[in-house]
Amino acid sequence: MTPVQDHKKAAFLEQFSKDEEVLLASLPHLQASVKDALEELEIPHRRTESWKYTRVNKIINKEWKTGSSNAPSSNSLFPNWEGSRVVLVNGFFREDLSTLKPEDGLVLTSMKDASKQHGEVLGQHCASLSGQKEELFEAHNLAFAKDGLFLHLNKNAALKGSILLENHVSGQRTSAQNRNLIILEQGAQLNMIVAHYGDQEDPIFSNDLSEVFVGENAQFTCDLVQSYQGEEQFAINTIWANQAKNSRFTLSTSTLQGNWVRNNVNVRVSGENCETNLYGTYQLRNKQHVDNHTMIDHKVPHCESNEHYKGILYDQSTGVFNGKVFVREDAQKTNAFQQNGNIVMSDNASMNSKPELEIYADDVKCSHGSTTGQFDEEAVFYLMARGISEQNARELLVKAFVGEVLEKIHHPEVKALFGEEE
Amino acid sequence: MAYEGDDLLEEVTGKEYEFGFTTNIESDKAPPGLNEDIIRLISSKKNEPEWLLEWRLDAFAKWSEMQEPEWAHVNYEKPDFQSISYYSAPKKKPQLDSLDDLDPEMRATMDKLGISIEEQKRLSGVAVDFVMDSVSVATSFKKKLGELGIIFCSMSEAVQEHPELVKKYLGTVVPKQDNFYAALNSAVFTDGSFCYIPKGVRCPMELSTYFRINESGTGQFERTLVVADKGSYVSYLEGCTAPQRDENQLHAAVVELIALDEAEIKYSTVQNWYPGDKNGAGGVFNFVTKRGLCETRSKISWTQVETGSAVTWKYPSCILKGDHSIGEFYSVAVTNNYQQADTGTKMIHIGKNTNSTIISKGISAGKSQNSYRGLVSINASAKNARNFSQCDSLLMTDRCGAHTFPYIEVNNSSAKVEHEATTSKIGEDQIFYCLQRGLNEEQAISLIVNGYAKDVLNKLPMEFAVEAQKLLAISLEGSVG
Repeated sequence: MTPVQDHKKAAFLEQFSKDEEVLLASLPHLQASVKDALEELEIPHRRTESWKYTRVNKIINKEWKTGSSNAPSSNSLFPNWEGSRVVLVNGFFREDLSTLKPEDGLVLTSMKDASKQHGEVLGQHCASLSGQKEELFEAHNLAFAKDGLFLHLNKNAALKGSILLENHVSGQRTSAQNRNLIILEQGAQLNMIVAHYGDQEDPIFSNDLSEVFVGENAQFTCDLVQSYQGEEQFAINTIWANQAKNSRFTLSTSTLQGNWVRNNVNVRVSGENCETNLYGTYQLRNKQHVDNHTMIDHKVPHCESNEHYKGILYDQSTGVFNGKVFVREDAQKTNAFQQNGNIVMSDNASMNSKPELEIYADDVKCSHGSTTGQFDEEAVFYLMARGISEQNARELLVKAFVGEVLEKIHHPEVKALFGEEE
Repeated sequence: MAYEGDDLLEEVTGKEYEFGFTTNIESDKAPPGLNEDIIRLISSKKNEPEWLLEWRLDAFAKWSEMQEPEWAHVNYEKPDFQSISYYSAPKKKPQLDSLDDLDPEMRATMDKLGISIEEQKRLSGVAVDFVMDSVSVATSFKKKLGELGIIFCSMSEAVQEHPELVKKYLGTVVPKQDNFYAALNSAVFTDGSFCYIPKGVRCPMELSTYFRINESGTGQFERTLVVADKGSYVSYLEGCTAPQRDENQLHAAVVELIALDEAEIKYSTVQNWYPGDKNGAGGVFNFVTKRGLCETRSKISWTQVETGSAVTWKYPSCILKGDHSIGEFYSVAVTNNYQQADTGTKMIHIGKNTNSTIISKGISAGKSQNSYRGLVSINASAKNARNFSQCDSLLMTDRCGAHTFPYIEVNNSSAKVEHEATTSKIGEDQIFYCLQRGLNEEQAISLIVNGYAKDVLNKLPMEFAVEAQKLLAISLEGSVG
């Protein structure tokens, strides 16, 4: 690292370290390693492989202040939600805005409270998956996160409805780091919608990290929705998941709006007979930039993973897809499929796609595909010949293109955001 | 030049290997090490003009500041660049009027390699520029080519006789600071081939060069430059063999192709250098930079069959600069035992309506690691660019690895880019079917593998295709997993 970078990093981190009451205070066994990581890891730059197409200078070079926990939250995308609603504002759990419906076997509380009441569970799980030793922003999250959602589902607990988790970040130059911990014990089932909002036009920096433990025979389904409205809004969303045997993990990521969004989805498949599904859509306009990084690590035999990301890029937008599938030495009989499709609508838009496979076992079926192109003009012509205007024809084709992924979204409420009828 | 004590020792111990063979020809060898003096020595030995020496020294200065790259998916002990001798030339340089004048020992070596020059000359009509270590010793068919105005000679000859062409094109496609190994090559390259096809000429025969690393402890730093002038066509074959060695040998070559308007270059390689023994000891390090530049309506086609080398690091690329230019890459890479290959291509689309095709077939056996790493970059200016990539991997055992790292960068709305990759093992039902029909398992695998690689093998010139099929079978011997 050059002295300039060193200085920049120190100045960036300095803004956060003034705060006390961080979660890390109750996790003494992690403190030393986090401190080392913050010192050693360098700011990702053009030659950092995992950040090749995404620049972080705009985050590092700006001033940020920790958001207030009482800041107001803005409009929800799900005003008519009737189930449990959990609201985080600037990374803090807001009981007053949340509506919680107690259910059997469910523990749902703030991380802050959990660190007092469920210290042992928290200590065992927190940061046991995440990559704070490799990624500066993950170390940053662990070092400065103060709160978040703690959700624990007991053995065989199945909730009646889905849980809606809403993350708001608001206030000028606000930074928010929250850390969520979701634990599904054996046989538990959980459906969630996670919504991220960058409120109004305020410049914000959100660095959000969730760890999900899916126990034996458990099922976790989550639809992630991102809507960052402002121009100077930067968001890093990281999810780490671990799957025990016979479990299922399904995640869809829909980026509705986002000027600078980085999604990291990492799944470790540690038990046999697991199913992992990752889906994603993005429709980018203006100068928006969305970077989807996924990693599925098949460590054991007889598992299956499906990955399907599709996006449309307009105007001067840029998109990044980097999907990585590991099949470890003993993970025989793995079936892994990965597909990334993109339509570039403007000459000023660009798409960088990198579907990777690293395979160390022979009895596997793995494939990946990536396409970048435009509409089939013949299809447009076909529709026009049947009396549909060109614009409608193109809209129809866009819908059909993303539709393949949209139909994998679990919650009709999320599908409705795309104008999809159930 | 006098022998240093160490060199003599090396020379003597070098002969003791049970397998393989080394040619016992006295050689003129520079002391190991790399510094400006060595570069001056190489340059003066080759009687080079001042500008080339400057060019080398500049490359050396840039190389000295560079770091050896580590991003490739390979593990190896880095070569000690100060223990390599950078110049070695057969001492008796024969002035050949006829092949009978050739050193009998060298003739025998060629025979062992299956390159009998007179046979080649008589039967196949292939002009062979035989490179033994670093200096060309035999060039045939020169007269015939000369009549058409085709220049096909060693690089050092080209520097003497056609300095204007060399000066104009050398380093234009692979700049001397391009990467660590290209910079090293630029500083110390000792010889290589130079080929120039004049305007509108279709080269009547396949041009070929056989490389051979022979001298123990000498790296081979070849530099090949092929220039196809407007509307010309050339097919160039490159084949490599190396005798068994117990220490790693470094090969850092640079190949530059220039296809001017409406020209076509077909460049085929069969590489079967010593891959190391079953325990992963020894073998050649093959760190090669190959790149071609396509002008308007021109075409460059790379075809490679990679079966040798302990570590391969090679990305033959095309810069599609001119409108309507075409780039192709067909590759079969086989790794066995502890071999590691990180190979692929780069297709840089700059001109309008440019078209590229990538077909890569990886076969991993033993405990080897085989990676495809490729870049398809569509610049904003490359309207209607088209790319199709297919990279398949075949795994033969449960301890080998097959990896794919494709980079796809699209910067305009009219480009169409497709990439697909599959990884699987040989179907047991396929093997069963073959066994049932009386083939043994090795034959069955060879049949299936050859069928799998057919798309690429079909692109090779006839005489290479036969050799390549044999090579695939030999490389996979005993690899049934």
